[in-house]
Amino acid sequence: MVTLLALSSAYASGGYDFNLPNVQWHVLETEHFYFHWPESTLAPTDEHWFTTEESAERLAQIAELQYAKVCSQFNYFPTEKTHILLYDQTEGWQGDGFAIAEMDFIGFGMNWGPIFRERGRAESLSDTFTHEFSHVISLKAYLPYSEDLTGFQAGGLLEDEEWLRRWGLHPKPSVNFDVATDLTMSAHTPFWWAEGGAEYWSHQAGENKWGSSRDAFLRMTVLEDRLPSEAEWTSRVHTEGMEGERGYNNGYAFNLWLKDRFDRDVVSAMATISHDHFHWSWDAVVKQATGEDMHTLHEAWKADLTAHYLKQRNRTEAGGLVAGHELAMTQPAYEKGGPDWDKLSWNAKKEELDQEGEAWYQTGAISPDEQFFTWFESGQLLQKIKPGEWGPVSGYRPWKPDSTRAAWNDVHPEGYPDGAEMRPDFSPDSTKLLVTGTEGHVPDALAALGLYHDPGNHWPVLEVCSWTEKKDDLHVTCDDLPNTVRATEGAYSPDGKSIAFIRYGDGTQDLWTVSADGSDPKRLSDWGDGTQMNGIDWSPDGRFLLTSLFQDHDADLWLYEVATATWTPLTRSEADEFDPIFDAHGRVWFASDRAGDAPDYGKFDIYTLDLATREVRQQTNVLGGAYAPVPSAEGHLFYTGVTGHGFRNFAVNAKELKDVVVDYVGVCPVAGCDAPPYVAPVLPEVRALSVAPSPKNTLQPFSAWPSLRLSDKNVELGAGAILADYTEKHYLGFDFSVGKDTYLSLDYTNDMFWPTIDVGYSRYAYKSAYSYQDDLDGLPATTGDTYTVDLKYEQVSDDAWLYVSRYLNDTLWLMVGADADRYAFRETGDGAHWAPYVLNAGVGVMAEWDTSGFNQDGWINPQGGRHVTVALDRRFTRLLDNDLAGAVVDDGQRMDKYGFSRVQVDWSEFIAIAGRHTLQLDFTAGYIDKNVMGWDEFIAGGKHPYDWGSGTIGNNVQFAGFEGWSLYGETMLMANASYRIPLARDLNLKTGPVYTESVYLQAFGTAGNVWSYRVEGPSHLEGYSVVPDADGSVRREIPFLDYASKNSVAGRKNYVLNDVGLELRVRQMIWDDWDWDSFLKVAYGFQPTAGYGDVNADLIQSAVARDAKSELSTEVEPPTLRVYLGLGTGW
Amino acid sequence: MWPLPLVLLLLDPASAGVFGDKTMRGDWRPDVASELVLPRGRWVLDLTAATRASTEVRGAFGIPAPYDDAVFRTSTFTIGVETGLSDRTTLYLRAPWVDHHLTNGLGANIRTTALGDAHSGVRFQPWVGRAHALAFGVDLKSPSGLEWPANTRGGDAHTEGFLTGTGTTNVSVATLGRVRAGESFAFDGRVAYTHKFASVVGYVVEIGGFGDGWLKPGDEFRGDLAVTEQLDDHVSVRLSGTARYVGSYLVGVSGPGVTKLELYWLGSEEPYTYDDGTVGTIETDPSGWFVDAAAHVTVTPSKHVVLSADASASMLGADGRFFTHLGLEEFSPAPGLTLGASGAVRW
Repeated sequence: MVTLLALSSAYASGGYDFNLPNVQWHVLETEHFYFHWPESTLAPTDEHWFTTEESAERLAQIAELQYAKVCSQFNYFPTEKTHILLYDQTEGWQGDGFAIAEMDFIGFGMNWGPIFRERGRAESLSDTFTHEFSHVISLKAYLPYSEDLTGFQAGGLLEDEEWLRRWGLHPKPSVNFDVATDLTMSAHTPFWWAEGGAEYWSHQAGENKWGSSRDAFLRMTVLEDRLPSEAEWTSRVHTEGMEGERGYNNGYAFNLWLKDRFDRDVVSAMATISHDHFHWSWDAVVKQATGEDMHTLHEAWKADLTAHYLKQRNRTEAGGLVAGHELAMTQPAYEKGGPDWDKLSWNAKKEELDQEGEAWYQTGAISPDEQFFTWFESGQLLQKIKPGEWGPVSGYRPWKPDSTRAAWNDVHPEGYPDGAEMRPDFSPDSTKLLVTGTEGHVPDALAALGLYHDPGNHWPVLEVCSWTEKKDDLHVTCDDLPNTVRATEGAYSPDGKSIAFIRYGDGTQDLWTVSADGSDPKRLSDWGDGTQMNGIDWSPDGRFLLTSLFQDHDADLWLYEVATATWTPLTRSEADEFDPIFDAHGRVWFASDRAGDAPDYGKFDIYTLDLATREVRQQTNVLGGAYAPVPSAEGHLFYTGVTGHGFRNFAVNAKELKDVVVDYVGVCPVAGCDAPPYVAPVLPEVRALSVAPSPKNTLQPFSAWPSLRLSDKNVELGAGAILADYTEKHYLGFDFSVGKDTYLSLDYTNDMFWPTIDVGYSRYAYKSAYSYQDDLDGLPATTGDTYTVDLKYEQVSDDAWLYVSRYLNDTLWLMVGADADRYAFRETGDGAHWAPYVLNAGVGVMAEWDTSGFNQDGWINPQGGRHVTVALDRRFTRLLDNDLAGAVVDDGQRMDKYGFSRVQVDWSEFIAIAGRHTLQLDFTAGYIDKNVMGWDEFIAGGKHPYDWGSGTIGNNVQFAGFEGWSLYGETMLMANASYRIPLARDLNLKTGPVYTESVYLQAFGTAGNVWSYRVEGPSHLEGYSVVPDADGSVRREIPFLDYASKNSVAGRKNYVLNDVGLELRVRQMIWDDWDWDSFLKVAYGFQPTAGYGDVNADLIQSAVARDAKSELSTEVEPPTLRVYLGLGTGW
Repeated sequence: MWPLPLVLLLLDPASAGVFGDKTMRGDWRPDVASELVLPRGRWVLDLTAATRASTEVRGAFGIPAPYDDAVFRTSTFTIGVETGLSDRTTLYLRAPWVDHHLTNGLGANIRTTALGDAHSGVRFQPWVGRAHALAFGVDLKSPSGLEWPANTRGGDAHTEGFLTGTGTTNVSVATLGRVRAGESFAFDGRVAYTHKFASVVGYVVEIGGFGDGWLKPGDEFRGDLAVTEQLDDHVSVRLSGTARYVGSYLVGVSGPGVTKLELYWLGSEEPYTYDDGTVGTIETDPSGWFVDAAAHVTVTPSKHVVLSADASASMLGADGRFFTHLGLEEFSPAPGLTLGASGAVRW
């Protein structure tokens, strides 16, 4: 471990999937923290050089100041130091953070990314740090058990009809019943307490505030009936994207409301209550902390919110709403309204909105010639506006739902998220568009396959896009603008020759210019103090640059005179002024949350400022919030408005603008403001105090995970444990279990390079007791002379592997690897001696292509897309002990040393049908190029998802109607069709710790078979094996033309096997966040089957050959009803 | 061996990041003052060695009878891991490596070393921080040990190796109590019941040798008493006694002629001379009482290290002959003095 750490010191990672090159970590230790700050090893003149030195200096100061403020809220002052990783390599990791309390681990991007309009501007370092540190302390303080054990997994599986018989149950007809459960015991909190709490505690610590942006979000959520129900809010289901932020927002508000209602910090008190005793549901914690049940509180909170925001609405409306019209592609479902809509649950509404593509349409901009409109959705979009369609300014939607004339295209196919809230800018001649994107353009074909990789060179950059028109389509191409790496927003000069832009570097944004071709970069500011900038524009005469500077918790408008390199404030107000932009007449348009008509709350509206007179006019009066104004040449206004459904583009006709002069406190007179300039705090020097990474300062705390697994035949107790480091992505995993079987595994994973490298070893010793049925005279025809012998033996497998894998892109995963296994045996008479009998080794490659977003554990009904896996192996088998291996003759051939190739393809299509119905088609094909021993063949049959092992068939419904592990052969072809329908959706049923979301029913059927080799022609028996008398009489069975001899019983030839079944799927969560999906499946296979050994799975093996020409068992598995039940096991 | 680097990491100050102290962890207390469960978040990695050289075997009625000139030494090296899951709950696992070694004057030198049967379990103490303590425990003994005789010929005359596991599973439930008398004395008691599950094992005696068959070991009742004196913050001494009643074994062998498997009692009828001189037979039975006594001394030089030594002696036992030749200590403990020592690191 130590050696590996030393080897990898030139790499850096953490929040990234893999390490990035050319990075050196430094470690600073303070009284309560370790700060791991990275720095580029490139030359400082290199465009990709970076450092986080100043960020570390600021953060060290902030963190030590915040330590007591956060800890005191819980009266929990950890003696262990928290490790804080500063990520600044900017591979798409911005404005985000995470905390793992048990690991004393915080990581977050130093670059705050685009303006976070849902929350408003904040001091990024202190706000993010305090939020994440609040997680660490609250989740330490609330834990009712040791931090070293992050959970306890318990489960069990009872298989086959055998266990029923042992319990004296003999269902007629025989039923094969596999039942399992899996439950992870874990401490837990609801979303509103964990994330809303972190917002609340950072608020209590003085680093967060409930500002105008948050209020607008909640206001519109309430007024547009988008508050989640109590049950929905508990879980994180459906909380990705905007709904995730709604969870933060609502939780923050609820926690503030709780404090007000009870006039004490009941929110923090919940941590202590949880710490003292494990609670099955957080509702019990709430009850204990407040004396009121969660439902009562939630209803009261909603009532208070509704009254509060209705009052605000009334007041705003009294001033005359000026909001314009939404620029929607289609009419939003929520606007349709009506009783049917109102009756829908929150989730149901969300799904309806999703169906119609609920997305954020924002930061729209109009070209100077008013021919093109661009905006950000999931990528940058561009649309040509044709005459007659330009409706918003005259009161109509610009794009009718059935319009085919409108052309649009994705400017940036990769959908760079940083552009999400940055205003794009058209060139003065309306032929180019300046957007923020990601450097490095990859040919589409290579990008789709993920065959292009250049780690460390995917930083934000300005891109210049141009387009051509073809019929009703726009073909857009974009090129990186040189010398603009880490740019966040840019603007063309009036003459189109220069571009001004905002650039991030080490915790501060600065102003730069560059020529339109990217040459001649000039740095115009060097704040070096954490200044954040937003909005950039040139004055019409090209003399000034206009922007908003956020310093010392406040955003103001500033002018920069290019010729004199002087900064002049336009405002020094208590309000936040954002998104400034000039119109053609030199007026400044901007968004401000100035408290105007409603002095008790701020609300973002659009204002104009006349630079000559300093007169300010209010142009909008919206209900939610208005941001990012873009005035057209004719004086119409485009802006981004917040709704209860996300951000949308709005337009206001020039004639409809409010255009009222307001007394704007804080606007600087022409003579200038006399407010003192912002003075940044003096920072400590960290470089000299920092040291290089070492095992002492980079190893994470020990963490283990106990487990209990029960079956009808076994009890196994064990644990998994992991040792890892913070910065270099080494993971050393250790797993063991002890029971009748013993298991030990050591696994080392390395993510320091872009492919993941996994090397490991495991040893699994398993004892098996079974019964063996024999016949005294060996003649099946005679009865009464058969007897049963109970036997026991022990086998061990030693496995070693090396895998190298990588996600080539979001949908394609590739793995190459090698493994080797050795099997040994012992029984009575062997003592401690193991007798090895088989060596098996192979190399292979596997690819997985998934366009369905399907996660087998997480999604009940994948719709659309496909899931394809292709595996190709070259393997070698050598028998070390022919007797122990069972036979050297199998399927008629002597096989004690052989190599073979194997290919398997699994293809699933998820075809969406109306009404959430899904038709799923699965195809499986496998081919082994020669005759091999049974254990190397494909093995099919129904399996419970809780079962472990390397079955050929996955945990779905293929051949669920047949006994597991019962169908063998070298050729496999099968097709499966399933049809899923929702029985109940959006149940939103919360029962104790379990949240039930939906129930689906699916009917399925499988057809296919597994074919092997057979002996044809003269043969003789050697023991139980059939050996051909002459070479060449062993032949491969041809699918469908031949019956599958192995699984066919005497007198009935199985050319094709068929089964049908029904499955009930229940989508559930437990402990707020854990998937706990359940199912009940019934399947029936129509054909009787035969095969090796214990075919009918009654744990009694027949020793009698099936017929005179076969080494296979006489046992027959008749068509049997198979029932599978899984509670919390997934499906 | 995997614990070694772990121990080195524990003792290496450079590894403080991995095993460094945390606020969530409860405080260590001296022996007498400690609870019956570990403080929350605490870990103990315990390495214990014990050895006994036995020159006797308990024969009929449990009366020790000397081997001719044989010495049977059984030694165990046990790795134990214990952790305080919560303030009230402790999880533990103990995996023994067992070494059986038989020598005699005829030159026999038979030795087997292998993993033994592991124990794992949980202790739960509903109330903590009180003057006296009460806890409950569940223990699982897993058949992880070696259960294969080294040949198929039965009887001690054909011994070529020993077993280190019974092949059977036990589940025990226990109630533990601690009564403290001042700061120096504590009295500990435990009562436990162990159910032993039937299983197919490879050493059931058949005609002519070992073979597979069913074994249902007898269930056990067990009681322990101990008194501990805390001499100072670092040293404590303890005297303890254990009594357990072991039930009879049942065995059954399937095979030709057996149409229905039935388990039968594993006792025997042996010749016996009564007090009046008459000669008859009497049933001998492996069931009966086993009583041991032990003395312990524990030294805690630092809060991270615990050293202890103990000696225990078998005072009373039942007929142990049935599995003695297999070295199965759970069934047939050889009498004698057992000396043990352990070292534990804890954090």
